[in-house]
Amino acid sequence: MGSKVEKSLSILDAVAQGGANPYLAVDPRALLLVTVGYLCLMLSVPTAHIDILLWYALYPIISAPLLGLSYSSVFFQSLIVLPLVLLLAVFNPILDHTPVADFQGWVITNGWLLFWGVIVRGLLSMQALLLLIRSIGFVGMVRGMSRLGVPRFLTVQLLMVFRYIRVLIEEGASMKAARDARSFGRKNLSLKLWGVLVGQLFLRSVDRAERVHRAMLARGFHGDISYSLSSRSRWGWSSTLYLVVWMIIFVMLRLFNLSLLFV
Amino acid sequence: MHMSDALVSTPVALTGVAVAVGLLATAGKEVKEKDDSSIIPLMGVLGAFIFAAQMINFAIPGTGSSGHVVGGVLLAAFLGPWAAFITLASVLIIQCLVFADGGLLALGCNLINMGAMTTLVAYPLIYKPIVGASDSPWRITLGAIVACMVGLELGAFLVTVETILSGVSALPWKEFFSIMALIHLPIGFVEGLATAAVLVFVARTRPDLLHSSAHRPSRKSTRRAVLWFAVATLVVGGFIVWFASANPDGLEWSIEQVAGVEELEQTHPTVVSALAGKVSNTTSIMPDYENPLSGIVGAVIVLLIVWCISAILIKKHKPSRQA
Repeated sequence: MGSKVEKSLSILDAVAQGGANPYLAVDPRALLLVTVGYLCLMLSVPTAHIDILLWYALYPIISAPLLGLSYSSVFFQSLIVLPLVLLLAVFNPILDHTPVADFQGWVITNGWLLFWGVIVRGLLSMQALLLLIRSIGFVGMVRGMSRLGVPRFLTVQLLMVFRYIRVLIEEGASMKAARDARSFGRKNLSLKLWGVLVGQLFLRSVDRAERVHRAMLARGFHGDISYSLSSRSRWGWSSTLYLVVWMIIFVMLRLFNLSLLFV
Repeated sequence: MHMSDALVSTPVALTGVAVAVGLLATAGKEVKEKDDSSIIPLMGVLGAFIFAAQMINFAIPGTGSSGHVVGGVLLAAFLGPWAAFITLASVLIIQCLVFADGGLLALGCNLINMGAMTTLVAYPLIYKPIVGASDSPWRITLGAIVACMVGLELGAFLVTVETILSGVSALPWKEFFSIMALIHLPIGFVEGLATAAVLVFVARTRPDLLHSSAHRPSRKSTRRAVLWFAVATLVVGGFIVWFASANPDGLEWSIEQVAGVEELEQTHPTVVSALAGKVSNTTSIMPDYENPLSGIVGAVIVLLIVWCISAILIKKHKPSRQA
């Protein structure tokens, strides 16, 4: 469990505040809207049309350095989506043998086009998500969501869960470590023992929640949380330019197949 | 079961988002109406608790491998269905954004498949009726196992529907669903055992923390149950009916084996049978279920008839005047 906990905690630290030194200062709201627009238009392309899909790779390739990120690290991180996507995509070339094209004697079937289409969609959508979260961070993103009108009960819930994940993961890890130290080398937890361990963690969580509630009441909490929405970033010309230019490009890529220019 | 964006098309994803937003809005309203300020930090901390619980794997009996809980039924047993849905939604959103587990646009579908099916369907319709206010370990275990299995199977069914509707897979829907259902059956069973293990422990040590209903369903919850059945009717009658088998039913198949035709003609018509035939032809607005809306229309007509009969037969209870 140790490496799993360390990996999770390092991911939490990395995404808490986001990346630094962007070339272009983009408001989180603009970045969120561009990401959603990108996903909507890219995913609306029929899966087998790889000639259109590949052009959407322009967005992560160009945006990564603009936002102060390395595209290669974003690309390698996006490979995490491959195992699940491959599990489904692999059936396409096996089941669909409809011939679509002939390339120097090689018959290309619709199944293979679907296969690569699913892979490309998976990679591009993951890269867009990574650009979003690594550039503005989780807290910045929740602030952006709040300013876009997401109800307060949800944004407060997200911030509270994020705040306490680290605390409870460390508490769970120390309980597990205490049990492992007394288990004479037995690594696996039986279901019954797991139930007791996690049940104890739950009771501690409830006690913690009660302490947090009393602290909130002592600080004037009356059922509705109001927190400052002042964000470090403001909507400037760079955010407007970023949003408008990319949305135009996404729509143009959807309406016109640029691959036909090279045929 | 976290769906990636690669597996959904834009219309399916946006429909999922719209439904999930509606459910979240309803959940927010329900939680606010309770007027309990302690629920806010409890939901926050229990959301983090689910992450911590997922870090601790347990040994799956007889397999040599390990697993972890999803936590929908577990959360609902402590917080109630609506607060649990909000908590699980926050867990799924953080899993998507922070740990890249599941797509951003597919978040709506994931919230429905994993959040709504366990907290809003499996818990109130299966766990609560089985367990009620009982602290019995056997009832809690049975309720948890059945609820988790049904919740996960419903989620697997929805994943199949969403993927097929998105047109990204050449796998026929029956084979796809069979694979998904088979995989999620043991997963649901093990999730149920793990959920029961925690609930039995808490029921023994702090039974006051369990969200149990020891009272008769209120009018509001009855109205809600009616609404859910109405939604289920629309889904089954308007959508699942498209997948109905076109093969003859048992009786038609038997007649076909014997007489060579699926339906027998009337050989000796009488006055009564001729009149019945005329009435049938006049009233059959959707003969032989050919119209795709026949399921929904039939359900509405049955509802109206039952309502009329119950309105006539059941006298409304009027409170007696006191002198």
